[in-house]
Amino acid sequence: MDDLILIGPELAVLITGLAVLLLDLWAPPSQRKTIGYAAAAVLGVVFLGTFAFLLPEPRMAFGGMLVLDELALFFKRFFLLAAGLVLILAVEFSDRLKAGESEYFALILFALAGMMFAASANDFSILFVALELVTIAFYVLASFQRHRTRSLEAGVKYLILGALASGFLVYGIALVFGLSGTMNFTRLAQAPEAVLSSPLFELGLLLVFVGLGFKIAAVPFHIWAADVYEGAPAPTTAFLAVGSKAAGMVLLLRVLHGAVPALVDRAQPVLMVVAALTILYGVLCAIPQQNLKRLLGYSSIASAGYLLVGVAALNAAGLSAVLYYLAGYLFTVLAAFLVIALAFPNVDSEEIGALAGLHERAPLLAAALALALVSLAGVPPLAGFFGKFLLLKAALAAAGGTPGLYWLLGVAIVGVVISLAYYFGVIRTMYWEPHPPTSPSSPSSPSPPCLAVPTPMRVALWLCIAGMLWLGVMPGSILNLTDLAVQSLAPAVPVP
Amino acid sequence: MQSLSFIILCPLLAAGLIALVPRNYQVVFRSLALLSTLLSLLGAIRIFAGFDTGSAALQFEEQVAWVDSLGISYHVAVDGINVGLILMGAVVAFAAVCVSREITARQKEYYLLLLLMAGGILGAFASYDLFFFYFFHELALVPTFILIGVWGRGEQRNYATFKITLYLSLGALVALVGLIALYLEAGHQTFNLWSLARQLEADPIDPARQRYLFPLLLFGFGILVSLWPFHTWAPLGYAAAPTAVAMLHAGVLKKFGLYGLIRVAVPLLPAGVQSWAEVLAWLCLGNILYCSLVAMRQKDLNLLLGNSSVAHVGFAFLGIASLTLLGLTGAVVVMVAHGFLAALTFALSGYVRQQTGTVNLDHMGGLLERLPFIGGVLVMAFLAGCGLPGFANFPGEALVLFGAWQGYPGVAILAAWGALILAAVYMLRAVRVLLHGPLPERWGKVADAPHLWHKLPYGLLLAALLLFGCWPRLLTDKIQPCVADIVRRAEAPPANSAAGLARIALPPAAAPALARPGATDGLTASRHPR
Amino acid sequence: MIDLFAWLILGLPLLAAAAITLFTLPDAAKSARLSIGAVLLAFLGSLILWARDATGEPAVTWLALGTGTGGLQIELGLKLDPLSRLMLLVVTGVGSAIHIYSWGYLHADRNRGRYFAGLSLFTFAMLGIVLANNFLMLFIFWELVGVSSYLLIGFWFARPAAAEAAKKAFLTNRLGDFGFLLGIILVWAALGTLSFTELEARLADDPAALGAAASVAGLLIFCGAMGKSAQFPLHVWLPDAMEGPTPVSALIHAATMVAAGVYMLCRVFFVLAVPGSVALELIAWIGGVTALLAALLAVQQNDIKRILAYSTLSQLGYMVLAVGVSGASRDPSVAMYHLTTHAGFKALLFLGAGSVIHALHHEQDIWKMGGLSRRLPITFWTFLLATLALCGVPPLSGFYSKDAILARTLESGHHGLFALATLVAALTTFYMFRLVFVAFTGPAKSQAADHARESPPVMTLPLLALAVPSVLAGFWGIHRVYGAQYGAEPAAAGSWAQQLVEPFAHAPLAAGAGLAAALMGWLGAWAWYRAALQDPLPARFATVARWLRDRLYFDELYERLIGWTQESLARLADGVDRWVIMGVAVKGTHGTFELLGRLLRLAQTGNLQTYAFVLVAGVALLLFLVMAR
Repeated sequence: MDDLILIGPELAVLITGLAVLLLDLWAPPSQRKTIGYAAAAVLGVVFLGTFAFLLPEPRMAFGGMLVLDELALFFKRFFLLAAGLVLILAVEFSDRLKAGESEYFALILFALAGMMFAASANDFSILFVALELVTIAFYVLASFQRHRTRSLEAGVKYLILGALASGFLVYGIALVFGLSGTMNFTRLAQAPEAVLSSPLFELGLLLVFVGLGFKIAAVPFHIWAADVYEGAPAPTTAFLAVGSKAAGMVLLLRVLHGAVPALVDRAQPVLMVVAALTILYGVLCAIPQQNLKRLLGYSSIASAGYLLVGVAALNAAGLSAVLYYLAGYLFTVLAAFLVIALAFPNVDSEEIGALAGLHERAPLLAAALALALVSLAGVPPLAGFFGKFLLLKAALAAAGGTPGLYWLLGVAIVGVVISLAYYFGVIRTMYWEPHPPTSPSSPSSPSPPCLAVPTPMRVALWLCIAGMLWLGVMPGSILNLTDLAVQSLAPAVPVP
Repeated sequence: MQSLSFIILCPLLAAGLIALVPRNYQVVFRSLALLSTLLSLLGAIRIFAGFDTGSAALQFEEQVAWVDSLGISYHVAVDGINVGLILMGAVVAFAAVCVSREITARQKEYYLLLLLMAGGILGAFASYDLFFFYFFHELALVPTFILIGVWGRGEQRNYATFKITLYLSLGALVALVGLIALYLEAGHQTFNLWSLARQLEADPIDPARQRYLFPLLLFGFGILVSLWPFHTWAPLGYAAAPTAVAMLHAGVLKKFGLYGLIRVAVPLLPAGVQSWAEVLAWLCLGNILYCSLVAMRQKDLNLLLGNSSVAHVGFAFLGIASLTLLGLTGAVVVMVAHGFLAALTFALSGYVRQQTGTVNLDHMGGLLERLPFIGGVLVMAFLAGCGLPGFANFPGEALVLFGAWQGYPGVAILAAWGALILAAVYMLRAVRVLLHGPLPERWGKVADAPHLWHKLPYGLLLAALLLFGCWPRLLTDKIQPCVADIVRRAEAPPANSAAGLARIALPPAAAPALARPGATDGLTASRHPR
Repeated sequence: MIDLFAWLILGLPLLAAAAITLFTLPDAAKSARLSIGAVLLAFLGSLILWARDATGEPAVTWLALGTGTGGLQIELGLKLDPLSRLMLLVVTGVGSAIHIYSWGYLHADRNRGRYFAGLSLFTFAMLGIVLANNFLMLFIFWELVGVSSYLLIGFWFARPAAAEAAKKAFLTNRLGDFGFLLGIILVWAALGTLSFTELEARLADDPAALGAAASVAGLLIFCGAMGKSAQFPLHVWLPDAMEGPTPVSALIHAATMVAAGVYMLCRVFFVLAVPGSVALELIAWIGGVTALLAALLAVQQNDIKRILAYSTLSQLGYMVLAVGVSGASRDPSVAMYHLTTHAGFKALLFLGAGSVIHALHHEQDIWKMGGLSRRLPITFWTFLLATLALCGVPPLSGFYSKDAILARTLESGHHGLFALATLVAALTTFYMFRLVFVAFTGPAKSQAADHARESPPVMTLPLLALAVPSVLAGFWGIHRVYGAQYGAEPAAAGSWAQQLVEPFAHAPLAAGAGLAAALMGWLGAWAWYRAALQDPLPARFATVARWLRDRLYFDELYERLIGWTQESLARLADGVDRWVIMGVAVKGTHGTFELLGRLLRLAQTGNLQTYAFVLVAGVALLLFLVMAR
């Protein structure tokens, strides 16, 4: 019974998903949107419900396969919030889905459930199942716009490459299990030195890392990201960028610090190299992009790199920085995709040029997107700044031990500056592109009609903006949460 | 009203209000901006007047804990060094809003961003917490880019905005890394400058580490102040920026880098300064001589002014490099003086552009005939620019030269050449081609500033220049005790090097580097004795 | 009480200037009243100070940083001693006359407000130089006279020539000030103070305090004088400065500002005269060379104001020479003596010239004048008087001061310089009487000259007023006053008769030589120009004449030398900025990253097989790198 209580949130989400599917049978097509909003509302309730958990110490469930600790709670809240916003976005977007809105909502909820299980995973079997639940849901979500070839193409690419990655993952898990005889993280942590030091075991972990790296889109497992981000429907992309990446991150942390704390030091070089490559690849490829979703795809690759910097720092500060960065990333990216969904109502592609003069057609959208990009670039007073600040601080703190981190820092800084360059381009397009350079005042062309922003979207947008500002200006409260979460990963976390 | 937070928050709150007002109430925006900057100007004047001259202690202090776990606190205060800068910033901000009359498009966004900029600047100068120090600066910096991009002018506007954005962001980031590294090296879990200073005096960072920390701050801040050879963003940016933004940035925001060097780098990293001072001394010749020469060749008045402002900050750098009481005091005076001067010159060139539609010197001439007031003020500003006594720049530059002579006579001689000769050459050339000579008939329609209200901003800035020029003690007496303290630190041999050695002996990993949750010693330590 | 007067004398002109600028600029009459009133009151105050033999040093701290050497204490202080008292009289006295004269001379100009503001500003700055009690204050007012001279030369800024001249004057002065400032810093670095009183005391205690820097410091300080007093090689700006209104030339570029250099040298004589310093020797020769050079150039000028300008240069050379040769006697009072008398008659000459120009509707070429002695009687007679004084004809003031210099040169054993000075005296008479003969006697050489009419009283009265000192200044024992400044024992003033013949009794050779020289010069002028319609010299010595007329091509030389170097340097810097820094460095970096981005994009073919391959390859690479260890 306790176990069921511990996975209460997940159950609630699953039930909601099923309910959505069932309601779809009776509800008239006109009411579909209501269903979506209702689901979002339920998620809100569940989100608040998670605060009912009081955890003096981590609690295990189902024979230690699931763990519920502050880290898990943090990520569950994270996923619930993200999914809620994505649902609102999806409702707005549903007109463009042509068919099966409710299934779309339901799939989002199932993916959410998978992510929430992943947050609690304390066992490779759960890790795999949860990940597959997420991934499979995304195969469908990505290709949901059946009338758009690019959407279908995205789905297929994600399916095949994802299957490949899953293959590596399974193989890795098998190796680990075969050598250690257990899939449970807690028991793996006590595995004898002989096992840990065997190269095959290391190989297994590397393959697991490949699987997770695929989820967080780290170089060289990133190759799918750009195309899928561009092709998939906006809500899917948003959820992919935020949810799936975060799921990958939490699992990475669990495996690193929960399952094989003894090997983190040996993992550090790999993490550092991958982080550096990921940052550089993301920012460099983003420079010449014309398509906003694709650009955000590359920027999300770069963000994965920054997150890995925090992981590679291997200290509590680094981990809590990772969580903080993710929290900021949630609001930032969702704000961006909410705008994308509204700013490109009917055009098939999301060319940046189409944003010209957005500030006149929809000041709120322009402001929100500008804030989001500025936050992604890491500029005060927005969430992105404090996240990057914490990351730099953590890396510098650890750099005393491993000078390699100085190089990583250098790469990170170059990355930030380059990223400013292309975000800047987008902002310029929105605010002063259409006008002749000499006089920004004279409206050169009869500006197109204003875009309407429906109330739920407006609320969501304001929520995201508030979140960005809150995390940027009042970091104290969230910082305590992240610190708690990191603490709960103890004693695994090495405290230099 | 006699409170620093008041000064900082006035513009920020006004910006918030403007965000709420619907955009068709054009008049509200401008009046709100005027009112708020005027209020913070009055506040700044009161603080300057109420300042207890001759004491090195913090005054008008306000502190609120912000992020305990990192030792971040909102801590504003003034001492002799920043009290003048804050006054200068407030005056320039008010003047900048006054001359924004020319802006007609999208006033809502314009004034909102301008006020953000003003509030950020004042906050950066008032902050005693490294985090907020940097935070406020960025808060002011980003609106700058957008203001230049949207309301800027000239065909190079986009490239200029792009360039200034990347340059300044890079500088800011390098400086940020330097600040964080400093925080970690100090290992006292506090971003509070006051307590950092006290603790590092007792137990300084080991000199070897100081030597690699200092360049981070030097070049990070240096880029922000257009230290040669990282200066090329400045003339371009100012040529493209709308008048008010050029005034605020060239006049005030730019000084942040210098202020950071004087406030953070020099006192906290004495050994670092000592080993880098000479490099800085020679680099600043790049500003003083090289940029003056470049200024001689400019055809565009704003490019000329931009280069000359780059040249002038060279004196502040030289004063810092000299590490003497006179030099550093001079540096601060130069910062204040040049703040007023740059703002004034850009305001005037903005007026000329508004009237003639161009700032290309080849098309100018004889304008003094049509612009007795603006032209007269312009002549005075140019004369102040070539270091004429009676204007605030003279005591500053003179002090710097006196101070630099003790350490670097060679540099001092060349700098004097730049100050007395080169500056005069290009400034007088500008007067000659812009104001003197016969009046081309196509400028027959040019009109002078009609009445007092229009003349106010120029008069205000000029009056400030004259006031501090004729009576520099208003500044120097306030600056002296604080600077004396800094010089004492910089001259003192790296204290108890035994501790330094011990630090080297330790494995680096053992250096305290992790921000443990709930570490509040930063705050407890930062209460300074009263 | 005395202090208050001193402050008022200094402050009133400033107040006038400020009030005019702020309030009465458009109203010429009010502005003129303010300005003239201020200078008259200052004159009154100076008289009172003079009568009271005021001494003292009222001061307020202007800047105070640190202590001891390395510290800097600067006072805003007024030094009252015989030197400054008498100089006050000269400045305010001549100044008053010229202020009043200006009202008449510029009655047509609608910008008189600006003019009088500038004039008052100048008076303030000049009085500041006279009263300054330390080097930095001196330098500050030094710069201020420079700028007021800039503003006044450029008063008619619409005339390109005037604008250029103003710029040239300021920049040339700046060259001198550059050295001056370095000299000041050097003195401060060596002695730790800038106050004249303290410096004098320190050097009295320990004459070697300056050490090796003595000569350098002395010469650097002299650079300042070189600029202001237009000594060779910085003499080029003064003739061009004649583009300003004539009263300005009279006040600034003849009587007071250009003399400030000499005054400064006398004020800080103790720094120059320290044993082991070669400064004075060099100063003497530069003075001599300037005197001769200027006198030669004056011979072939045709613009009445330029002739006077060169004669001013030459006389300034005399004074500097006098300072230079006073090292042995440690008493440069003769220089001040000549400065004082010269201020009177040279101002008179310029005002006379102004009156002529005014009468001839701004005709300045002496070969278009002639016969003016009948039409402008007052102008003529006062002009003649001043000319005689300048040529050193007893019993006029110029004779006594010039003779004192000759005598001093002889005493000090500089025989070369003595000969040179005598030659200059001869030349002086020659070119001055060339001017008088051509302009005032003989037939009228132009319509304008034929219909010239005497100027109004507001202009002629100042002429008469200035004539008085030109005649009598020799008897007032000015040299004794100045002598007191330098601790010479006050010799009892003898009877008039004694004073009249004193030079002959004192140094007959010098006096005789001076008189003889003057006579020779007069004869030359009489022979050639008595009734000349055009200049005979070019016909006889073509080359020499042309070189003299073209001022020995100094301006062209400087134009090439300085202008070219600076211009090419600027070009270089600008090029580096444009191409190396902005181009290669900045744009290069930018382009590189752009290119990298485009290259990396090539991997994103959109082709599934490629993607799968890249993914697997990545995995393989990773495994290899890690497992290979």
